[in-house]
Amino acid sequence: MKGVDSQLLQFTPWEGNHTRRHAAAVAILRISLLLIVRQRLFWALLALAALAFFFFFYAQYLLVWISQHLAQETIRIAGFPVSVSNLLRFLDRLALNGSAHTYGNFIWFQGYIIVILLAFSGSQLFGNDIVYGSMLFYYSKPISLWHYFYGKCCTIALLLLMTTFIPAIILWIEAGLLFDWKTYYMQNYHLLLGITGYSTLIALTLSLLTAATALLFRRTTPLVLAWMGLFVLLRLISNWLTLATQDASWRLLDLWNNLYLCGLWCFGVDHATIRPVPQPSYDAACLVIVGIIILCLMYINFYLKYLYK
Amino acid sequence: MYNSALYKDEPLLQFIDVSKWFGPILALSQITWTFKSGIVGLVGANGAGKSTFLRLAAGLLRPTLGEVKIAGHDAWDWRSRRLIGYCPSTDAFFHDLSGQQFVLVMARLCGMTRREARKSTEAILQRLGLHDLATRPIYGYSKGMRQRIKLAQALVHHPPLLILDEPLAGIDPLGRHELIGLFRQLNQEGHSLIISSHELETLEQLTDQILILSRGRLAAAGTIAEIRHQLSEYPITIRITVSSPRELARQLIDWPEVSAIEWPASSQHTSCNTLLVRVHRPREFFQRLTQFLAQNTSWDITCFESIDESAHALLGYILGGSGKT
Amino acid sequence: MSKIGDLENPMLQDNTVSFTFKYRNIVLSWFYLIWFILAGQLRRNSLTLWVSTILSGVVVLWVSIETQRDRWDLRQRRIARAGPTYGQILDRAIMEQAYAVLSSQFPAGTAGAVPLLIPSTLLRLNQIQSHLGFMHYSYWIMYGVYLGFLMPLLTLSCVNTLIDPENDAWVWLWSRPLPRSSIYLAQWIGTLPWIFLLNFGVLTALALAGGTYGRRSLFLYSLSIMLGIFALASLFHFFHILFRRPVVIGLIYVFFFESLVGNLPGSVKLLSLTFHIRSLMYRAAQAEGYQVELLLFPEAATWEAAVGFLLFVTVLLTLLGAWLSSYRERREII
Repeated sequence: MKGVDSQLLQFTPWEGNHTRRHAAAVAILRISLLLIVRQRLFWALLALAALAFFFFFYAQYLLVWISQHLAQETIRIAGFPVSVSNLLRFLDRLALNGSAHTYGNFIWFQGYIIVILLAFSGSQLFGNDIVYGSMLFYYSKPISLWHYFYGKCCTIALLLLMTTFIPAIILWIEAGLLFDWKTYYMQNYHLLLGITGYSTLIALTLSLLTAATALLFRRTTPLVLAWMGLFVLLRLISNWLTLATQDASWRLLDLWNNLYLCGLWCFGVDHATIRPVPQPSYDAACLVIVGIIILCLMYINFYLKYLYK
Repeated sequence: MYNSALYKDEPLLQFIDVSKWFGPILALSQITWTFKSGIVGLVGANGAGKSTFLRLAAGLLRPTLGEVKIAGHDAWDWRSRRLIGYCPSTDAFFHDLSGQQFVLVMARLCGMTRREARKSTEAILQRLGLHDLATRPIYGYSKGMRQRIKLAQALVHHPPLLILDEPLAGIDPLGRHELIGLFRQLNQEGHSLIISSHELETLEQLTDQILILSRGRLAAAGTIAEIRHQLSEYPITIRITVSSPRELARQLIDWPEVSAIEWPASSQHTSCNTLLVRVHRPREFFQRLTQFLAQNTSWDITCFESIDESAHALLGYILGGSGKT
Repeated sequence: MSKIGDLENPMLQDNTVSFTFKYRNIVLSWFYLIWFILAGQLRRNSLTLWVSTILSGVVVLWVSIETQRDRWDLRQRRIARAGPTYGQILDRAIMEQAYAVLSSQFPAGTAGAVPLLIPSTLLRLNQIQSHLGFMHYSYWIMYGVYLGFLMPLLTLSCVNTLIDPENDAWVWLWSRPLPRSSIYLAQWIGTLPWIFLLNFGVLTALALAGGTYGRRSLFLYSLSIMLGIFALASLFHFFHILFRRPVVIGLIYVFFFESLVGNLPGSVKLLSLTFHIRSLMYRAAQAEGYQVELLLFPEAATWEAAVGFLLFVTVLLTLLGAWLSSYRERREII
């Protein structure tokens, strides 16, 4: 072979073409995903996330079945006769009717498990790399650390899409099949866009937030504390302050509520129909989310430039 | 000296048909081995099961099948750990402690009083050359110093059996030489040692008893000579330097024990009068050669040695390959 | 065959140190282990404790601001943005009730002093009014923020920091001649003072920040919280033996299982630790005459049942954990 030392007869030089550096992010995504999905705890969390999905799935079916088959009848629940119209009114309040609120509420309910899933993933994907020194392997490759973050954030985004986007799409498909599918899909294609928008926003915001907090705290326990503080404590405080002052701007402290408002904006929901009241405006919520994204990007940039040794 | 009479009836360490699974992975398979005293070198390729073996002996793991006994008692029993000093290969410490504090804590946790622990700690640190550095926190230690601290905590309660997992890893040649001297001294004082290492030359300096693990199985155990003897079919290579090598080769090639004869390239160790004779059934070969040389005294043989009577060559044969682990 | 207990270690030839194993010394070394674990927190500059302190500080700050603005007392709280306050509504209700009673008892135009016959309903309204602030504070801060968030999280983080499974340093403890169950118990005992210090430190700060209501709640609820801490600590230690990632499992337990199960109707809620702790706090407030039944919680267990359950869980999980630790290998090796 030309240019090859005759002694190295068993060595075959690589003759391929280098792909673009962005392809490294795909490799990082693949490996990171494998790292997470091979853990039994991930599947346990996914099963818990599936609980909310199954509740919505079957409740939606139940609502349609009751309204179609028992329109004027009285049914018995725990031995007590219940008027179907009262029951339907109750179920309607849960908004299990294939409307924008159905998908918005479903994704909102996933928040409980998403928070725990992200605390777990953050420490696995980012924290371990820093604590055990694996970042050096990425540093030694001809890629920038932004490719590393891009790959890892995509992994988190993918995990979030598995718990929000895909189940919501299935609920949308189910709703169409339960009603007149042509009418439903034609009239509600914008809900599909809303689901995509809401899920993408969650994926973008929370993946960056996970990266930033994982870089800051690194280990599981402080990371978990910080996440619970952000999503649980701030929610409690904002609920209290909103009730105490009747001022909706205090709800802006609740990050998950801000994402919920932005998601409902993607669905084109009338602001007056949002519960609980009062709620801040769509603009204010979006501003907060954008601010968080910018802050996270700034911190990651600062960390890569000055803090990582 | 240790009262070896106490162990007269019971071996110090015994593996009785031990197997260990980690889920679907078989780490050790049907290991039966007895150790009474002395120094044993544990060798094997990466993933052969050396660390698992040592952890079973130290009572940190339980065998899936079989038993591990320390002086007749189950190794998992906490009382067996009185007789063991374990030096792990992992590098995890209570980083906020200094070396002296760490060894002192380990001594106290072995049941020593404060006075005994302090005295023993001072003695051990002095012996291992860490006395001047003992007050520094462990997170500031070099690799070699960490190895010594690990050794110190294993020795502090004066156990009869020392289980050392890669104690020489990361130690410079001078330090290694000192530690080897220390191991010999400990053995003379009555401690028994099981040392796993990849440094076969080092182990050969320390002991001729080796234990070879291969893919979770006990491939061989005993002295190198004993193992060699058992491998009678393995062709050994003998280097012979003689004034007329070709004539000798013509004579030897017809012998049934001789499988091949080579002329090595000239080097520092070989000259043009050297030939390498590969033989199997070495005992028969040596008997025949002795008779041959007695009848023909004209042969002027200046060098006659077996060049693969070493742990490397032995390991290479048993494990397959060059013998490198 | 010689017994291990009879063995004596020999003298070394140089640097002679004689050392004989005695069971008494093993007991002393166990107490030393407890001290070592306890003192471990003093040596470490733990990020976990800093974050816990910050979170607690946020809560204390919030409570102190609300106390300064007198917002616990619902009298000042408006029903809607421009609507009347709860105090105004209550006053109006009392006046209307009083007018209705008096006008029915005494004919119109009767001169003279109004007899001071206040019906029990009026008295009760007044009593509710005076207790409303404390119940409101209890509902939000004690039952909501502290019991539902701070207490389990602080306990979990404290347990995990002192017995960090991400660090393989446990091998040094496990290779000592101490029964593994005793090591587990030593960890349990060694972490308890820190857990109590953290929790009661936060409670004391809340008591100072919460004014009268804060001090009252500290006095009323201390015993319940103490029993709750024992139970939670036992549970989280047990998670450490059972799972590789006890922190995440603890989170799932606190924010999923407890939130869900503790508020369900029927008997399922009896499985919840939070339910029983809350029941004890409930009963303590009830014994002082507070109308806790006005709070929107499922019916509380009796004092005896709740105490019994919490103590039972504490003892059971501790013993189970000790037994399991003597039987199981550490998962980190695998």
